[in-house]
Amino acid sequence: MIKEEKLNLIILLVLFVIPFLAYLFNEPYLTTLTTKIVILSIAGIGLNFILGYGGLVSFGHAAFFGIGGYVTGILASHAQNSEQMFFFLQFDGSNQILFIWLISIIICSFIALLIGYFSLRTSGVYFIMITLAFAQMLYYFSISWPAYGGEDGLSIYVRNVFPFFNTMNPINFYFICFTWLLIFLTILKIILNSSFGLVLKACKENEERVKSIGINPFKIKLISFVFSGAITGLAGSLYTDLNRFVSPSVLSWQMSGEIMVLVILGGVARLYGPILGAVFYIILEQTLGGISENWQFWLGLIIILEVLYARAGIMSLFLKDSKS
Amino acid sequence: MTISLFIEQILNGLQFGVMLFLMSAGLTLVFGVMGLINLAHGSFYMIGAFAAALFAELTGSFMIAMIASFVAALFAGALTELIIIRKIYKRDHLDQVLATFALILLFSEGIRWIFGAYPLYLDIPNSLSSSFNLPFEIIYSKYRMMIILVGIIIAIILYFLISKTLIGIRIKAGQNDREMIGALGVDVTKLYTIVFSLGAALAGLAGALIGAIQSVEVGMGEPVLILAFVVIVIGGIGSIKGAFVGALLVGITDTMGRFLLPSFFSYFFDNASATSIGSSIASMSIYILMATVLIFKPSGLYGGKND
Amino acid sequence: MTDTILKIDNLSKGFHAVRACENISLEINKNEVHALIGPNGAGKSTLIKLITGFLEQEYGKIFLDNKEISYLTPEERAQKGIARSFQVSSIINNFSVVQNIKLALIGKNKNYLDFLTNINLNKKLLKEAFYYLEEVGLNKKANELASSLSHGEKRKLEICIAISMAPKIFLFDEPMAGLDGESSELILQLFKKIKKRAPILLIEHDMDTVFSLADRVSVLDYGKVIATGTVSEIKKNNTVKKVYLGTEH
Repeated sequence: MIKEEKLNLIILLVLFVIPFLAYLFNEPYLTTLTTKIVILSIAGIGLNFILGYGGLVSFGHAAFFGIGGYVTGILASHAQNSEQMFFFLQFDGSNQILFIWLISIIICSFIALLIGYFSLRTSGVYFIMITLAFAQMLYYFSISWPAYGGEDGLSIYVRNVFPFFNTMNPINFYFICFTWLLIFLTILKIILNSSFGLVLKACKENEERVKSIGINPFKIKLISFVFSGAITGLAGSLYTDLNRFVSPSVLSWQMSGEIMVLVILGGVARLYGPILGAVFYIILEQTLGGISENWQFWLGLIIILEVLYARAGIMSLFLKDSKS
Repeated sequence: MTISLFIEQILNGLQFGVMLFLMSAGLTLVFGVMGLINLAHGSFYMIGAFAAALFAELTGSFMIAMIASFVAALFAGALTELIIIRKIYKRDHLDQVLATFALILLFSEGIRWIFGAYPLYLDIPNSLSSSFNLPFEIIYSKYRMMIILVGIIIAIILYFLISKTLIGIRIKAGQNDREMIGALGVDVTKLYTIVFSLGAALAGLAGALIGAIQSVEVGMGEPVLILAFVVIVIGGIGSIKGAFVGALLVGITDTMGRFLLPSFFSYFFDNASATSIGSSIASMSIYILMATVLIFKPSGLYGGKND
Repeated sequence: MTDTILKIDNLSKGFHAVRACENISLEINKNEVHALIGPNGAGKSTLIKLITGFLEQEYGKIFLDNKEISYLTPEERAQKGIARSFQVSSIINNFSVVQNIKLALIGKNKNYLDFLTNINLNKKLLKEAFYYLEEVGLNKKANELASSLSHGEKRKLEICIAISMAPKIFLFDEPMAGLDGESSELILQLFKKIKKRAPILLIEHDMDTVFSLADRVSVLDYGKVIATGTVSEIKKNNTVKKVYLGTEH
């Protein structure tokens, strides 16, 4: 039973140490697995920002994860094939990871602005469904658009290039992802303690009150939605580089569900909750997957028990003061 | 493009829509009456299809297979409601989404455990496997026609059930005011179980009917579930009439989109690109339809409440 | 006439066949507490919603400081200087008491797009929040969770939020409902003090409170203003006695 700050620190320390241990014991697969945990954590942190703090249950965050992934895949594949991207532009794509991140964030923000602008007019279950619908729209588009592999997906063979740093080395790539995790944790911590953060949390509980003190909740929610989409989108970009492959499954509703499950498993509205959720999720996948082919059956059972009996998430199991 | 081909596609759209209605009816009632988002509704569709395939294999009778699908999904629905669902009616949407998402995992993996990973096949009975002739030289499958008829008959029965019978009045009372229904002296718990199981049974029947055209496999329910959500959101959650109109709209938009858009784009592009652009947009068409409806009517065509 | 802060001109709103507000005209002047009384269902709460923009009128106009606000959104009206309290306490239960006031101050200062400054370390904001909390006597409860407050304290917090907005006019919807004598008295004194900052439109059931606090009173019945005047004028008014006071005395 410890304080939340301490627990957060321990989580980060463990994540920091694991790849060194993996190197020491010559288990490169463990590094890849931890990289996956970190990337899913980033995606979850993005969703948690609006879901946990703003009360906006988006069931379509795979849209951003997937677009980030496809932007990365498409830019890289053009660079590798030296094919022009647009017939009117002399542009061959890029394999510079810094540039790719920038483009992923810009495009995901823009898509989030569009989806958010229309979705946030609705609320409750309609919001859940319209976000799902937008993600499905993109999913089916990715399947039926043949130029980038359609249903079969798109391979990029080598990771994109970071200046002075070999991204093909698993530990190097891991620390790139880990740095992004730290960056987003820091940014969100600052935002959540700011005026904007306070208003966002107020929107979750009482929009009428927010209106009556002269603030338009729609504006607050839309800005948060864009932030959230950009963060999850960057996670998607990293995911493509991790796997050197992207396919429509990153846009699927199962992906949205997975991100949501790890946010809720970890503990909603706790900044580090999604990390614990991702750790737990991957451990379950690996251990149950080793024991039984039908590991998802047991995952389902665990989730149901968690919903029925341990609602505050895994974070709260470790913490002294259970937040209301 | 001939007129007969066009009408045939319209009929296909109608058949698709009617099937979606069977899926959506339960979903919309469960949300309207109990306020529950049930992602696991697609699992009942799958259970129905598997039950039908099993009983068709055992008895050789298509009729018995259909009844089995209805009964199996009815029982699965009742059991799920009694053990898990009734505990989460009062929870927020987030808990409901999570719990029913987990139920999908349970059902899918459970079925995979019992039946294995390979798809099963359910055959159309001989008496319905042929086609028949309609005016304008249209030749149409008897089986698909039967689906349309079954769907319309069930829609009519549901309409009378809701608007003319005691149970329907109770359901309506429950939609308008959940406290009120208790005050009327209605046994709410029992009513909820009945509505939930009936919805599940209709989904099971839909799964069996479609199982004979497509294959019966794990995961067959989820794509249809998402379409059913699109339907009830377009129609307005809680409204049976909305579900019917929404289902036909979605069915026809999807079918006609796939049919017409590629030839539409061939006016602007060469054939290969027209086909790829056309089919890409066609696959998104119903989601575009849904987004458009929600932008103008945030609670659907026949929806009153926005929650 | 330059003293009129809020002017309501011929305002109407109906729900289906029921006329909730019919051709209502009112003027709220500087330095006054203007009480709105009338039986249940007379249209008082509807009128508050129309003024604050949570409902839209069918016809008629609303002016704040001689500028028309009839078609602005609730948040725009709040920014122009309308502060309200809700009939049922509408505070942020998950926030501490002082966070509720900070939230209102963020709205007033329009710095909700500040993503960087840590509000927990902002001394100026804290000082300002405490200034208002002291006015309603909630400074000792500043760090408690709003949901843990008693009913009376929640009402005070609700009023404190409105005061901290430093508006041009206050609309208080039954602020004293369910309060004990001591708390009512405190709020009574508070209202006498703050009416000099901005006039108060007060909906109140308790006649003693109305008569001791109000400078003018308007009586609403079936969505219509049937009388407006000073307390003594209203007490003498025969129509009022018949429809409203008659049932009380």
